Amino acid sequence: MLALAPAGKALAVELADGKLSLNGFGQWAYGNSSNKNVYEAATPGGDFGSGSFALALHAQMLDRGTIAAQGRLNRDDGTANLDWAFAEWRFSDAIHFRVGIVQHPFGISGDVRDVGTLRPFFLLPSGVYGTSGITGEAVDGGAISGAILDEASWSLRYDAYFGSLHLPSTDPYDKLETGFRPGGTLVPVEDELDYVAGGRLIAATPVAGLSFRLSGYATLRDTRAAVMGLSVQYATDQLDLRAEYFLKSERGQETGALAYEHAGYVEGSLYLTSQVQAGLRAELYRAHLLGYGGPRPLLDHRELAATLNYWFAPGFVLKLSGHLIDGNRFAHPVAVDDAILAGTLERRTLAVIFGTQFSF
Amino acid sequence: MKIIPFLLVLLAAVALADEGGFKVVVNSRCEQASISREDLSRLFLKKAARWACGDWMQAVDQADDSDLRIRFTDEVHHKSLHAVKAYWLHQIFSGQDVPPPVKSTDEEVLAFVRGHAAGIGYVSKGTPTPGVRVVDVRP
Repeated sequence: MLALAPAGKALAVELADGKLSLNGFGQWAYGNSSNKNVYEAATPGGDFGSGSFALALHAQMLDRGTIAAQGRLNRDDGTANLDWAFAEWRFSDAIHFRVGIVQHPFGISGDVRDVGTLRPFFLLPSGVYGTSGITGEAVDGGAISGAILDEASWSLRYDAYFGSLHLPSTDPYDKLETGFRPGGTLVPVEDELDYVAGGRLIAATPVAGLSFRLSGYATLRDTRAAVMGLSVQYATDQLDLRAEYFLKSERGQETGALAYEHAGYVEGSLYLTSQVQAGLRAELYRAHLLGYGGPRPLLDHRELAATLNYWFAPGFVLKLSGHLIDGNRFAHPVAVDDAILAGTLERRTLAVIFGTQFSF
Repeated sequence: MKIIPFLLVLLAAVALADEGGFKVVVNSRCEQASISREDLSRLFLKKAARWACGDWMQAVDQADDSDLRIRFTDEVHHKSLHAVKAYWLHQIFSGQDVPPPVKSTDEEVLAFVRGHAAGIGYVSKGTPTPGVRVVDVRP
């Protein structure tokens, strides 16, 4: 009845012929950064305290009906999150209906943004998946997905969703409009966009491993935010090439000022041996706040990154990455207003992150 | 006359090559005699659930580290086991689906297929398969 697979052998815990399964993932990292700028897990002087662990439960109640949920513990801030929890009914291969808290189907990594074993770098690109407020954590509402076309050569799958979108973000716009104040910070908050409709199309081509994704969403009740973008991925056993670009338009909550954000990256990784993987990434993020002509450090992020990974197994990896960053949109001191007012804010940041990511 | 030993060697080589092969089995209620490689791959990757023997086919897989699983993955999915594992990790944590249940012996696979009207699995070519139907895999 109960099968717990030995390490390195199989996935998960299975019950009742796979009708109930338990999977998990986690990560830990040490990060160090320069110039008093904090960048994700990297802090000036170094930080050993970044880590998280999540468990996902899938219960297949009937042939057509599934209930699934994922919970996560974060060591960084001591919080516990319910990432998603939904019920799904499969009308056919073409229509799967979900209701509840569902993942945000967006780009290549939007619905698996916290699972480190599904990507080459410890961190996802900040502009697309970080606190830019482009990719959501989850959608509270409903979604349908399925296969439109499933031929030997081409396949076309879709996701469509409606509800409230939760976006982790730091918002520099209101700060730029209203001015900096002593002690002011850029703290990530969860922004909630209501009445959002969006979708994603995934086209797999006759070239094995080559796929395209078109993703986007918009608020329906007002014109507060809209996002659209294209993703390209070519993945083989040895090589993984990814490129994504997104454009977001947003109106500031307090000031109503209109802003445009461009976020994109190109990334390539290659297995040098069966266990050693190396990767490079170039990323560009640029925001434009209409009518604003002041200093730009909080509106820019340019990054070159390299990673060297050692995979013990597909579900267990050690990663060492270096990040050379220009701009303070995502890399800045905790007391960023003080640094700007004192004229000590450094645009450049060098960050090093060493960590492990695992899943089962 | 020299051709006879050559043919014998060839037949022996073919027999040895087949020894490590697999055969696909379905529940005895299913009347299909064959399945295309592509349909078989879709069913085991859960990209499709519907096939001629049921709207909700239930695939059962072999243990991760078995030679049979590696061979099936290579010949049917045209992928490495590593790539298929990565595919399932993505499916699991995006909430899409979970992999088929895994059985560690041919006997357990056969018992699953016998016990599920829409069951489909694969076992070693030399394993006796009473109570289930063997279907050919079309290229």
